[in-house]
Amino acid sequence: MRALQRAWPLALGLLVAIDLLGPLAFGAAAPPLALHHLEHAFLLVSGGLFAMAYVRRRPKPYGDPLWILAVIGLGTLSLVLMLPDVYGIVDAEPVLHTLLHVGFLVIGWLGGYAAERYAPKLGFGWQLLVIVMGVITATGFGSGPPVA
Amino acid sequence: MVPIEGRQLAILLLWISLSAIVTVAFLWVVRSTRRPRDFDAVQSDGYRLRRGWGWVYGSLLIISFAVTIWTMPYAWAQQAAAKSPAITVEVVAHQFSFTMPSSLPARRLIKFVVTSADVNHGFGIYSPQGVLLAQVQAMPDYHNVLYFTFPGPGTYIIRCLEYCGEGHSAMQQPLKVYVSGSQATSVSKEA
Amino acid sequence: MAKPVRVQEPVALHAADIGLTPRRLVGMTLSVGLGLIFVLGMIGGIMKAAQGNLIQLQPGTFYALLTLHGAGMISTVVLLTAVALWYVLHDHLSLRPDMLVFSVVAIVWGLVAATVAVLVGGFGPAWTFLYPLPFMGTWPSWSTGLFFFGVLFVGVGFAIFCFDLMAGIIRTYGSIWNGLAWDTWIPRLRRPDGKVAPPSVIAASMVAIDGLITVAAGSVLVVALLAHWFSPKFPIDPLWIKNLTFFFGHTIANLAIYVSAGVIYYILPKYTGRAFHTNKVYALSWAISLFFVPWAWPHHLYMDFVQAPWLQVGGEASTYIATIPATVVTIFGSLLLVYRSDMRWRPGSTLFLAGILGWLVGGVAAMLDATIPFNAVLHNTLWVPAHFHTYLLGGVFLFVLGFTSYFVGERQTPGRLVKAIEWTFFTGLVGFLLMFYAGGIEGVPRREAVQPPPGPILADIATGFVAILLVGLVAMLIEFWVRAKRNAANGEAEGL
Ligand code: HEM
Ligand SMILES: [Cu+2]
Ligand SMILES: [Cu+2]
Repeated sequence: MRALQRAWPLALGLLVAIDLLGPLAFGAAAPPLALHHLEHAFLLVSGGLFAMAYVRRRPKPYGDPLWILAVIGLGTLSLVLMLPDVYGIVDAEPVLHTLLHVGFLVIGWLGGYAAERYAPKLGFGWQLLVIVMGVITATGFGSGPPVA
Repeated sequence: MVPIEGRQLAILLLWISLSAIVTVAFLWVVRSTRRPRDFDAVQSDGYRLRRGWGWVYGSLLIISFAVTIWTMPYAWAQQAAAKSPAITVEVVAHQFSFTMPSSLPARRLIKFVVTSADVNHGFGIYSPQGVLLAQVQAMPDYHNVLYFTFPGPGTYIIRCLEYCGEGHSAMQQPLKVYVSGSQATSVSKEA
Repeated sequence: MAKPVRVQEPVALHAADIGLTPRRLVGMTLSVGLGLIFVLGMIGGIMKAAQGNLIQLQPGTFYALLTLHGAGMISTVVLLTAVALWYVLHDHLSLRPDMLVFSVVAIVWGLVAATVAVLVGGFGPAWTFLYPLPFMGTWPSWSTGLFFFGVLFVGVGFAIFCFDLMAGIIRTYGSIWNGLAWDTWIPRLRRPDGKVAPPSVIAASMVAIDGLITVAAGSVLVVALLAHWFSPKFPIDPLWIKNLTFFFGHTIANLAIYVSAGVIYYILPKYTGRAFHTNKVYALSWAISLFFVPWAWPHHLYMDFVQAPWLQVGGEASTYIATIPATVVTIFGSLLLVYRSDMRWRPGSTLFLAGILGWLVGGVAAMLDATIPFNAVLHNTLWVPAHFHTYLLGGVFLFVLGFTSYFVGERQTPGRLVKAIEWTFFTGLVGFLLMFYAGGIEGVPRREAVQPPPGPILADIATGFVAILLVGLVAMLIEFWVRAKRNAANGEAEGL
């Protein structure tokens, strides 16, 4: 149990690294849109989890309302980054795309950090927000009607 | 006034009787405050009553759910849709009219395939007396299938039942329904 | 484990520094919100008068007013119930006034943006702004974008409220699960000091979680619409966005009732002298609400026959299930709390009790409408505004008024005058609602500038009742105001 508690950041870090570097190394094509949205949610959530672990080790005074505004702003930003117009730019270039994915990881981290800075364990709220956004975008954000 | 019959009548009676029951119960509780008693004395009875009420309410829901499963308006739930051959009628809704035949036969199963050329509309069938009989949505890029049998001849009204812009309330047109066989030529396709 | 830190240092905005005590803050918000409700109610009366051909409105104007009324009422009622819940819990959960200021300001700005879009731009696709109508109307494109930004702001305001509520619950009870009182079921979660969350905190926890879920959905919705507005290339699936629209719209309107439940749990005991106690039944019932309320939206798409069958059938099932906790636990529990109690009948308690009746009767009508074969003849008729006005105007809004009466203090209520006001108000309310139901049974469509018969004659009668209702409402608000001043002058605050 103890070991598991210590090992999860490593395991998650490994998964994230595979997810980020795999496509670069093997040149895999981008997954279908729905899966791609979930992939982004995975990166956001992982970033958030790392932040929560980090903050828990270094408790800081908390409470500035601006942290909550940051959380909300970061959530919106992550949606904007999933727009096809943004995607058109990075899709062609695997390195850019990977950078964007690193960006999602960072946003996830920042969101989790900001939420924890407002109140301990509030990273939970951030995770809830990104998971729901990820699942909903996966059901059809950025895709048109089925061709009849 | 539009006659109240069929489902509308059932709904009205259910609503009035259920509302009357809850209102009477409610007023009874309100009046009971004239004879106050200790909470402990009423609480255990109250919890027993709550359990009973929970069972009654839960059973009502289950019964209602079981009944409605078999009376849903969707093609997969309609016996008729599977059995008898239907006349297929395509309906395209626009801001602010419907493109569809102006007359159809009575007492024949009709398969309305409804879509929209612009925004969301509704496709509501009103009887010559003005009773709402059935409806389905008209959505762009999708085709909704409504099975319907006109009960008798007359001038029905097709009315938009989803707000669609400035001309929404004027979006209605008559539909002549005739007795089968007398005018069969104007029907578009036989399925 | 690090020691929990407990620091209270608002940095950005010291609410107390600008003279905003929680009481003043809540009092100001209530005044603004109730004033807004009155104005929007007048607009409702104007719509009825137009439908009854008592006045002439261009269809475009009618639909713009309809949009403003719907969007304004929903946002305002969410704001007012949220503020009421905030007030009854702020001490207990150390909620922060500056956060409340942020959410109120965001919501008010959202409302201002929406109002400008409607009144200046003529934006009028109704408050559900179902795609693609917002982009295919007679209004200018800027009004569409502005309105969506307004919705975004209302969402941000509500998100701030939910986040701070969640933070307060976690701070006080250690985790959101304990806020939901799941520790009554799971001993492992139990706190060493044995403290369990009271029912109003359970309600608040459910609202915070489902509120954030709703806001997340709303942000995807609004970002998609704004993206399409910036660049029409952005593809949108009409069925997908309709589901999303109602996931957001239905759930946020529905949550107003759950927020009110938290207020009822706190306030009703003050009048009955009996308390609600947390137990396993409450925890279970709120867990059911937590899970099923976000799954009730498909009942808005029953008449979209292409929708997946599991969503249709599942939507009916989850709508049914979502009513069980309210009916069997909250409403029943409230009536049990009143039954043979030494109830103090004050304006506040009368309003709360009347609101519970409205919740019940509106709930019955809602259940009928949520039953698919009935929905086939009720969908988009006046039955729909009939039932939701019953539990929003005749339920949630009465809770808000009841809370206001409690808030300004129930001492020195002029008994005879209050009776007269109540009779006027409730007569208008009941008559107004009955005309809606009659129209629904008669198949009169909702959202029509010009209705088929017997719509207009019913609207004529309804207009009369609306006038009575609004007179009663004004009188009630004035009475609150006078009472607030007098009680404040005597140094007495809220309560009995
Ligand atoms: C004060 C008295 C009120 C009056 C006279 C009034 C009147 C009306 C009228 C005439 C309509 C249009 C119905 C139709 O033909 O489709 C309407 C719609 C609506 N009302 Fe009210 N209302 C009142 C209070 C409220 C309250 C308190 C709420 C919510 C908390 C509310 C929320 C709505 C909503 C959401 C709609 C639907 C708008 C739409 O169809 O897009 N109303 N109201
Ligand atoms: Cu990507
Ligand atoms: Cu229409």
